[in-house]
Amino acid sequence: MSLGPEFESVLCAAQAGAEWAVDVLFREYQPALLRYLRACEPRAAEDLAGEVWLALAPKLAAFMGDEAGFRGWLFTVARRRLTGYRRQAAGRRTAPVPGEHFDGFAATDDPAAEGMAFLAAQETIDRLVAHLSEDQAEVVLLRVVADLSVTEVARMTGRTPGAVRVMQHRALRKLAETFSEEAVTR
Amino acid sequence: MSDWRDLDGVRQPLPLDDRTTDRLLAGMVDPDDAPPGYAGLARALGTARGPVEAGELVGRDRIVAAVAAAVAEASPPTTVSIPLRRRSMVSRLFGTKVAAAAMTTVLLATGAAAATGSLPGAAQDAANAVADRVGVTLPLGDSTDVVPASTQGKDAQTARDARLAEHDADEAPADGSGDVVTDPLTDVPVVPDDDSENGTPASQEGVNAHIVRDLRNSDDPAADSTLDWKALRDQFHAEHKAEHASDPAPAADDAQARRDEHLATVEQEKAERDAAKDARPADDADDQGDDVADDDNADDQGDDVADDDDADEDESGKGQTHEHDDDEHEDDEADAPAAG
Repeated sequence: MSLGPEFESVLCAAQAGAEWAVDVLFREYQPALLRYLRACEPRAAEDLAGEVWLALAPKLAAFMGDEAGFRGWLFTVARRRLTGYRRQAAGRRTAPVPGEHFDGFAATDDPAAEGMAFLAAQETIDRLVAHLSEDQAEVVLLRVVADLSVTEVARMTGRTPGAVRVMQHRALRKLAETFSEEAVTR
Repeated sequence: MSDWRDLDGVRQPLPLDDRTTDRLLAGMVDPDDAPPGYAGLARALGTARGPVEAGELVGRDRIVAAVAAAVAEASPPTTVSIPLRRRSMVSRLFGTKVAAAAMTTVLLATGAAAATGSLPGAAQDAANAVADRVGVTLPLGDSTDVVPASTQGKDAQTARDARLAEHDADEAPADGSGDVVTDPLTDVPVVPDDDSENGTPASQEGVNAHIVRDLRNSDDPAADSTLDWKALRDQFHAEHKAEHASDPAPAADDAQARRDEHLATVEQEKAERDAAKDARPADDADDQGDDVADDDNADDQGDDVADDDDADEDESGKGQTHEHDDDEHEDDEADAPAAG
């Protein structure tokens, strides 16, 4: 999920209104954006993603920064849109996944490994955040799905980088217990 | 004794350092190389960061086109627009100042030309009319050499001269009826102060009233807009002064003649009463009982005097007021000693 050195030229073309450049940016960042939004608001993820892109468009020409900065800007807008949607809809943090959904993945030999192999990306993300608190899930999503640094996540969530690190450590240990092959085997 | 691995639920994943945590979250740790207890998590995180799946680019063409159009529409190049906007602002301010200076210059030049009477005839007349309304006197223009466009082919000056000449033959209504006339200089309603004998206005307001009435009765719509009040007023005075100089029967001579006639009548009645007194002794001797009749005669004489007064009023009161009669009687009393 990175354009690398090509990002600068693609961004300049997109700022001039080149449709091909916008298409490159969309193909690069839309999957992660949609996964993040689906993990938070699965019913409104597609609509929110479209709103995010349209909200970025009028200000795209004035953007100045690198790829990490653009990614942070994209997910900042997405987070604000998500907050506004939740405020309006008073929706829940995530859509709960029914337990029957995972029954088909159970196996006798190595059910965890086999199940993980067949799980799609969005389903895995849903499982990850389902075992975390809201704050921990947000930090993990921004760190994993959005590929943001600790500093960026701290800026977006209004926390200190140390608090973000502590939070992600606790989340990983909890997830490690959940996804431990040993625990699943038993 | 049992192995430590038998303590299910007691073992906890080892804490990770920051670098390993960052690599794990970034999907850079292979599950086989993951720290103990983190292999499953490493695999899950790798799956979460997997490649694009079906359904994740739904609506791509529509969203890309909308975003590109919005970017092209709402984003002029910043580095170019700022200098252009500044130049546009400067040029607009400069243009406004130049326009204001040109307008001021034109107004000052026109005012100076109007003050010195250098404008063409019609323009000078218009400026004069405007200045008269604010109480400023400007030199008169020569409007006869230029025909104003507002007259639409008519010579407005010639038409006004003709109407002023016809004004000599017109007499103002004695009862003051007609249109309400206002002073063109003050816009105050003016009652014509005409001379009772020949309809000549005796005051400045009367002159203005006559001029306004004449022009309002005219059909020339441009007369009011091109009116030179002072010139018309002066011309009107000059014409009526010449008329009075050639008048063969002044009003003062008529009054003197009436006073002489009245005095002659009084003298004649007095002579008749003296003659009657001379004849009375003979009547007393003949008839002592005619006192009442004598008194009646005396009353009759008094009545005759009263009747004479009424006759005087009838003769001299044609179209005149009682105030005028009183003035005549006072004149009679004042002239009586000299006439007697």
